[in-house]
Amino acid sequence: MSLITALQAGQQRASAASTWRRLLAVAPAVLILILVVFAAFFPGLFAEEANLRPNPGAVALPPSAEHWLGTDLSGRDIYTRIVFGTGLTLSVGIRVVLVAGLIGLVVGLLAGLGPRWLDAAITRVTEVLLAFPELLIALAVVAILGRGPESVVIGVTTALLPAYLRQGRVYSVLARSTGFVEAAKVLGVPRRRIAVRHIMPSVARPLLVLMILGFGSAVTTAAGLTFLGLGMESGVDEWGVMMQEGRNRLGDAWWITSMAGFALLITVVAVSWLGRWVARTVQRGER
Amino acid sequence: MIRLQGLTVRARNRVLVDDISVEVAPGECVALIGPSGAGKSLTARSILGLLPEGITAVAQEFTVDGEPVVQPASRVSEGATRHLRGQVISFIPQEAQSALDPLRRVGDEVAEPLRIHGLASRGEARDRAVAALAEVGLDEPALRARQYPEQISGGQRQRAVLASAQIAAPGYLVADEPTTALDPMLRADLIAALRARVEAGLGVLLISHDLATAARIADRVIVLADGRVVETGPIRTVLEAPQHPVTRALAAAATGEPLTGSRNESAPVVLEARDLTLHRTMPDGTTRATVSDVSLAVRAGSTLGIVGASGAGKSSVARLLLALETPTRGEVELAGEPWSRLAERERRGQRHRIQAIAQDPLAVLNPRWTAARSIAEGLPAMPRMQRAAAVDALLTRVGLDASLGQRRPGALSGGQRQRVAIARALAASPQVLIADEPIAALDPPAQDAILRLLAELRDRDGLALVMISHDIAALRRIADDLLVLDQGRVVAAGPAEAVVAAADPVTRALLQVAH
Repeated sequence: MSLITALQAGQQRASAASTWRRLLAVAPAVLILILVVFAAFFPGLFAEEANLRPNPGAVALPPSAEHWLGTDLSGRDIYTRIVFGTGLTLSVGIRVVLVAGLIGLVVGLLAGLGPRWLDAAITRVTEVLLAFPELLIALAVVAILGRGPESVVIGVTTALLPAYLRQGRVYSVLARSTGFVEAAKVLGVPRRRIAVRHIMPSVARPLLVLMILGFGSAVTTAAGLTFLGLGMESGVDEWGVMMQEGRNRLGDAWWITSMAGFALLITVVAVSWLGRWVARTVQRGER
Repeated sequence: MIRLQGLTVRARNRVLVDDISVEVAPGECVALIGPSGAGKSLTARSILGLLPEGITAVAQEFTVDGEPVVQPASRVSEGATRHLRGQVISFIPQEAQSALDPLRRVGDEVAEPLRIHGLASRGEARDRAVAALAEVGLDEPALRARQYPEQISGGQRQRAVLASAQIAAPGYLVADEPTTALDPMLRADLIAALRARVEAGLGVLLISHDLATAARIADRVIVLADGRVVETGPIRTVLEAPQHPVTRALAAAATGEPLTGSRNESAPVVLEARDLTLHRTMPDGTTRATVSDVSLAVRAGSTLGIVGASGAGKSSVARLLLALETPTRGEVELAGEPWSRLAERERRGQRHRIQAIAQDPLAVLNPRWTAARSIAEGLPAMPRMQRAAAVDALLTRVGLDASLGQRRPGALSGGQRQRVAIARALAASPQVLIADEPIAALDPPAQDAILRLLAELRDRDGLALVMISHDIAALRRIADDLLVLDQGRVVAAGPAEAVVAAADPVTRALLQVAH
């Protein structure tokens, strides 16, 4: 008995210490994300808004000491535009995963705990959505709703939703068949309380992980839409728009598309890196 | 040969296993025995590199079939042993019952080692899974392979795990208490099956707290206490002339005194079942009766023992009594009022009157909740302060220190978890307690303690106790009446001593394997 106690105490101390040590392993990702978040909220800290003005005298200049990442087709400084476009670009991704996660949680719980016909209906709809390529669904929705950030969010959410629905459903079915849920039923705990106290947390955790990992797909799908010309209105400071604007000049002014693409790449990698770490940590907590 | 020399296991700076050496040759069964917390499981898990977070194992030398697994005097990591697991050394974990994925068919789970190591095509793996299930003595293996884990009995699940451990034809097997949760018949079978494998050349490292089981299968025995080897040698020598006090205590198998309740015929009948029948649909569409025409009655302050082999329908009867299943025919009454006939909506407010204790307390406690929170779930609504005091009182009542309430189930021992589960059941102030194999997964001292606790609660609070077990010996200690089940039917019922004396064939078989 004393051995188990000691072992446990040791384990708890060890896990507190190793959480910090493991956090160190994702330090670069955390650092990048801190910079990105600051850029989103306080772009003025990193660049001057004045450089966003078109400058007909400095069109499509390659990277130089004056324009670190070059200038675009209207002569705007690309670095400045990336910094000022951070907020809008990221907000699309964040809104997509928030909405998809919430829908996944609610509908997953309904499918897992509701009547059988509802489960069947939700599963069929999910399968139909899965049958089409993601980009195609997003394109169709934006084509119907028209361009703009809101349509992009709705379109990308619809496209990425099946994964969230499935995960939500699977984890609520799994949680429903656990011994502790049955034990709560034997105690006479009302169904709604069982759903909220026992089942919802079991579903929410894996969904949270999926949301973090899915952020990358959300941002890239949104950028993809814009790149194809069916996303944000042109001229907006957004990374996808910048990539789209430069796509016909990849041969002679590669930096216009590439620099925005690179910003996207770094951000997505950092988020996914952190996401995997969160996933492992959550799994550790389950044990 | 598995050769592990000078193993030391540490949690931070605390030494849990101190300089233990283990050797297992092909065709040999070595038993690692000792009381709870002696370091048996840690030693076994070190060989597989499967240690909990924060615990490290260092071996002076670790070779398998002459190949070094790790450099001398270095850490045994999960990565270093990955290529061995499943293919060279397979493992049966302690709680094998929950080792199967509830969402996959039994056959797919059994075939998994073949698929992971790319040893067979999908179709071939399926056939070999059925063959492996037959080999471990499962009836109708083709049907079982298509069922889901929750559709087969606990004993059948245990055998499926064994089948999975054997399917990739590993040279060695590490089995952590493989027989603990089995009924005596299956235990004898499994021991015979394991022994046959050993004769065929398998090297087995058997972890057990039970010297009697070890004696029936092992060639050599290593006795551990407090992380050290206290005695080692051929099984006969150790069994017949134990040297160390720990070994002597293990050798002297304890037989407990009776814990029966009052046979008071005037006490009210609180739980009554008439002609209970339950039909289940099999994957091929046919229906089978898992329970047929079972009638029973339990009086306040007494114990009804339900006994039968694995698959006899014991747990199904428990689920019917708890109204977790609706009987196809027949009825359950609680204190003379309808119970199984009620709509769930009407029953919910009454559910607290009949509570359950399960075999595996780890499964019925939410792993993320503290013990105190789980117990509080059973309490009626009350102010927060009062609730905390009530939880503490319940913990004390089941013999746990109130400070343990802040632990999660993972941080409690098996016996402590079972006490927490009992405390939660008591929180609901039940009249009937249905205990389905409450001691099967515990080691003998904890078994004894839980039996005593249940008997005490029954006598002090006038609880009606229904205890389900495959172990007729344990049931005879506590039960006033016995009901013997075989293939879903009652084959004998009545006062415990009368049932035992009458000894119909099924009862006799259960009695025989119990000794």
